Amino acid sequence: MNLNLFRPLSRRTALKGLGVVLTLPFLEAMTPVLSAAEPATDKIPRRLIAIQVNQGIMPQLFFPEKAGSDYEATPYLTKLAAHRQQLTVFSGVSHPGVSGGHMAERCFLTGSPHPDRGGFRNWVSIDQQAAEQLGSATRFPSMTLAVGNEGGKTLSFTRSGAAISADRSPRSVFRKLFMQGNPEEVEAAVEALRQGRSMLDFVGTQTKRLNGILSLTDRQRLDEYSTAVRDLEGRLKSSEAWEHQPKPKVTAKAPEDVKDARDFVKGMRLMFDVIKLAVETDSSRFITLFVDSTVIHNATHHGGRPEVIAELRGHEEGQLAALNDLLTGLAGAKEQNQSLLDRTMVLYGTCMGSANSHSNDNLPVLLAGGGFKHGSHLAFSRERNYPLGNLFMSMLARLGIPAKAFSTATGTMAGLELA
Amino acid sequence: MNKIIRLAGIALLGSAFSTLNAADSGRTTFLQTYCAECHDAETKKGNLDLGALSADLAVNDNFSRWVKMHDRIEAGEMPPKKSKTRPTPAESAGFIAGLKKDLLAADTKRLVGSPRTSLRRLTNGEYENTIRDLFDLPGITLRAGLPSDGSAHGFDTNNEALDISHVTMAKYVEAADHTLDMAIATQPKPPILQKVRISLAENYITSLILCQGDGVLLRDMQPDPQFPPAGDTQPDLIASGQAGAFNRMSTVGLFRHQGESFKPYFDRFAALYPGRYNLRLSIWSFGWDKGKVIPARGTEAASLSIVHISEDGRGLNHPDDILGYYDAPSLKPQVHEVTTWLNFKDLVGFNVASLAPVELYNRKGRAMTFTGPGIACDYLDLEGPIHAVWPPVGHRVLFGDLPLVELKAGDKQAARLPLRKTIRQETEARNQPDPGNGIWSVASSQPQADADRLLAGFLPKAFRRPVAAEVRSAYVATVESRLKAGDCFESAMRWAYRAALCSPDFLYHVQPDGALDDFALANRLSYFLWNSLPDDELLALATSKRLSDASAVRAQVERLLKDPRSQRFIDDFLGQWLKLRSIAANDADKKLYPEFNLYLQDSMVAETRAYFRELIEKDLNASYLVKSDFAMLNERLAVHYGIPGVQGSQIRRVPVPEGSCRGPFLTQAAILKITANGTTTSPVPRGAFVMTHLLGKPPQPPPPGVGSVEPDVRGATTIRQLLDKHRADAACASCHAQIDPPGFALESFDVIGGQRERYRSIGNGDNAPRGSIDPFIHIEFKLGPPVDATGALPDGQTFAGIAEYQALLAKDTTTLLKNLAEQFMVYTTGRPLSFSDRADMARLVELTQKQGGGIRTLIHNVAASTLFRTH
Repeated sequence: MNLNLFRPLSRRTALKGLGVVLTLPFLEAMTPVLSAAEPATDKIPRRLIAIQVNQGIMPQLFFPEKAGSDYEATPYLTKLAAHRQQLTVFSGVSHPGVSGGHMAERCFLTGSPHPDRGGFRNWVSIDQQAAEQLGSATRFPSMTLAVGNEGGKTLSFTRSGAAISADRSPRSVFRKLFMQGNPEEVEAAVEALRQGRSMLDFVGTQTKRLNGILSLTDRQRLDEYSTAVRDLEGRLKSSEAWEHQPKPKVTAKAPEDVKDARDFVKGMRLMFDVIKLAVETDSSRFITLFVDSTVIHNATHHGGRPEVIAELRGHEEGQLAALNDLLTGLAGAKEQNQSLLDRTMVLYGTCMGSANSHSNDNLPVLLAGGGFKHGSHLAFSRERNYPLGNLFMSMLARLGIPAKAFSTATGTMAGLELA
Repeated sequence: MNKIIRLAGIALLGSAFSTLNAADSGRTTFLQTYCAECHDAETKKGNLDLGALSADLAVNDNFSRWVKMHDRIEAGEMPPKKSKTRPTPAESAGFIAGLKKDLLAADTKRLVGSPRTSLRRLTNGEYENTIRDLFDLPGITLRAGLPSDGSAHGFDTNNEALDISHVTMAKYVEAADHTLDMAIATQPKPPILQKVRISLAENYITSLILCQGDGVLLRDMQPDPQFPPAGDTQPDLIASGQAGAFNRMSTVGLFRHQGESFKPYFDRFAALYPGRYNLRLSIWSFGWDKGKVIPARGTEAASLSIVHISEDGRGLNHPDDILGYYDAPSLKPQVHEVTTWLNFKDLVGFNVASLAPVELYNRKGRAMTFTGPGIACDYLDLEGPIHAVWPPVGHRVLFGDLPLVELKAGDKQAARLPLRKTIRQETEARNQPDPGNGIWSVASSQPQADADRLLAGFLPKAFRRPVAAEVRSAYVATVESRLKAGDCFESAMRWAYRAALCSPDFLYHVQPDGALDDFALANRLSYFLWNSLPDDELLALATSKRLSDASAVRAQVERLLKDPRSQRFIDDFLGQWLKLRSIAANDADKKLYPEFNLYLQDSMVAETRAYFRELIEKDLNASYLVKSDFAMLNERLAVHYGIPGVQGSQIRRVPVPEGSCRGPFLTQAAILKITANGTTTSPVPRGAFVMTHLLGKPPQPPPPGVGSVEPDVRGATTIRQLLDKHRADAACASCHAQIDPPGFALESFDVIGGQRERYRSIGNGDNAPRGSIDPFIHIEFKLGPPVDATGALPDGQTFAGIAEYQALLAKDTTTLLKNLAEQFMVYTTGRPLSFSDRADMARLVELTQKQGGGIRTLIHNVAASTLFRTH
């Protein structure tokens, strides 16, 4: 536990030692390739579903031995065998400096170091970063969900590190997505948006006056402000349009929430159903799900006892079976000439490499779908872990968001190519 | 080089060199004779091909290369000393003089016509402080919600570091709403003053660990007879609670430091109304010997933190900020009073900061078999929110003295009621909101006139300069239009105020084209030394145009420095100049540096800030940046540095004992931590830091494709041995001859700034003596190879270790002063220094040296300089 494995990679190290290295310039280099390869399809949305199970995943049943594309499927990966070609397994990854056992569960999508220290402040999570840029295209810029969650746990954090409350009830999420709001609420929301736009319009006019007294180069600088104001106005306008737009109609019925919080696998399945509906109706493109399986916490401290391991295995395999069904559902739904899975990145992992020892390195993580060249096991060093944030940089690149940096990432993920 | 090729090379150069000014045949000859051999198309040393280099100084890239050539030749670095042919001093001087003339001419030409300082927005720190000062909301948190600023030329005050996008705008709108929510009074009387005395035992997790033996209940400085400490058996939590163990106002004696599973909070009170709160904390330290209270080993330190509760407050994962560290003297309760700001859902947390992490719950016999230190907390008194005036200053800035009246829905007035947020206690704290009192809001009998009057007062303050009548009218017009649409007066005015706070006049440092006027100067002074808007006195001086007067500026600089707000300058400037903002960028390795804790880290930062403050207060000269006869220490730092005789948690000035190198920035733990990576040190980043930040001579970047160093913490080889391999190369040595000496001297210090004669290692090595490390900290590191901190400066002077290196560095006060002057200038003007600024900067430094070379004098001279007054 608490092995300090973070060694800030100098640019030279990055260039030298990491095989197929995709550092930041790769982002620019790839863009022409994207537009050449898929001119018609780059209007189809891309999405992200990030799932964390907070009590770990038994590493000995998860990680394959061999690296590359002909790895032997482990018991857990066998549960996802149908989607082997659509997913990549990672080993030897973790967030540098994120230690503290269970405390790391709030840093899975943020990578902010030292959650166990006094004065800890979280950073923006990857889904919120994406939603900031692209969220206005859908009715709900993002959705923050949770299963079996007593203590207000969440994967999503704002820029200032404030936790975004997670919706724990599949029923209420369903209603939010598909039931019309009451007219007063809509009216109030529309009015607030209108006033926002009107104010932005007003401050925009102030730049005209300033331009009259500023130097030429300063007028050009002020242009950046005008653009920002106009952009924001445009987004508020879209939001207003959503208020008037009727919500999508679905044939599915609102689910009944799970009564027993211990049945978190059932809870996961219900949430996955709602998530699939949200994606199919393009209600949101950035969805996070915090699976709080604290009920099995004691089992995760198996200490090597075979009967406890067997019990734990049952729970974890149940989770993976649920994940498998989600992937099957997404793979089966079509969007133009691609499957939903091809356009939706599904990240599944945990903040503890071994819940038994509370270690926070060598995290079991996999990524399915989204438009990457999948099918292999990307193995990094187990002694000096590779930053998980680099996967997030690749994901942002896949979404088309030019990010200069994200959390503790040192670049995009080596060995993971866009499809 | 083959003679034939060489001649051909020169012939080629000759033709390429014809692109240079034909009149500079002397320059061409100089370059061909002394430089062309290495810097031609083939060899291209340092990536410089003189044949391809254009003489067009109007192009930025070319200009910088010619400047680099000028500087390196002037410094005697080029041609290298080992060259066969070198110019005579007269030849060099002639070359430089001619080149300098051309560079100055080109630079002057480039700068004509547009202002030097580009329009820029407020930095995030400036934004937050401006709002805090404008509305008297010292604790409102806005900065964290804004996207981070970048950095250019070392600081965030440069336009290049301050972009703005729709994301930033959206955050500004949110921040403006949040500010107005906090500033506007919604009741005729202030919130009811709450006064509580809270015992730490009331906190659930604390009561739990008390039963487990990680703490004990005390009364009259003895174990509480009714609730004895946990021993062989663990007292039942529920039964003890029901019997009243935890709400008798017993003193809580803690052995256990906060950690992953334990964070004690005074959670009976979670603030509902933002404002100032007075805290009184009573603490003392004790020794514990298997059930007996005995004298403590010394004065301990406890900390208070402000915890920002999220959701319903359950769990331990709430962000917090340290409020301060407080002395706990042995067996003698000390009451500490501190006033702080609490926001909605803030509560106060506690920690036994100076104790080593100790856990007794798993131990046989628990507290009864334990001998060790503890800190006792008698209580926390909390009183607030404190309002000296009502409505508060922030409200008056918006609404003056307009009366607050009660609005009832369905009244004759058609206006919509203003939005009010229902305040609820969302945590399990027991304080409840004040009883509901209806909806109150400011009333105006002459809305138009009042709007005009209020905006006439507000806008010039917010925009930091006079506001034309038409501008004000435009805002008043928006108020009228909102009133017509059915808003009440408060909501209509709020619309205008929110617009003002999102307008470019507020968000940007606006300066009309042309020379800086008095208002721009007032702003430059206040944002320099207060990181915030000018106050009434500065604005009054600007209005009466007296800021062009040197003695007025001098008096204002003195006033600003003496004001407590100048601390913001110290924190913001040091945060960037010495990179203190990166203090927590990496973790000290727990196995190698088990003695590291947050208390030490906070103390380190406090030391650096206090030292800079002392340099300014006493107007000490620049040699103090690298060598000093005093240090600013508390006990934790003194123990860390091996300096005896310092007791307590507060930083104070301490004379440095004979033979100690401590005190100046060069040997402060904060700097040494920032320039290491938590596990290992390397002379290269440290040397580069000293060169760049203290000497103002940043080293060249490494050439591409150079290998990097793989540190070895098993103790087999030292970093110096590993570095030697690539320093042996002559090409590498040219830069490393400068970078390495400070780095080698600083090898005497580990990643947390402790002094060492041998490297710590995991694995190979000898057993390490405990030294000053707390007896309760488990040591598993070993002592590896010895440190070699010897070196030689480029001019050949040698040093045997840090003390001698310091002495050498301290001699050149001009270099140190010049760099600091440049740092100040770049920071406050928000623009880099240009070639043509060099003469002015040299004069400024010379003047300061003549006046004693002190830092305070330097600040005065910066504020009085032409460059400061240049747009």
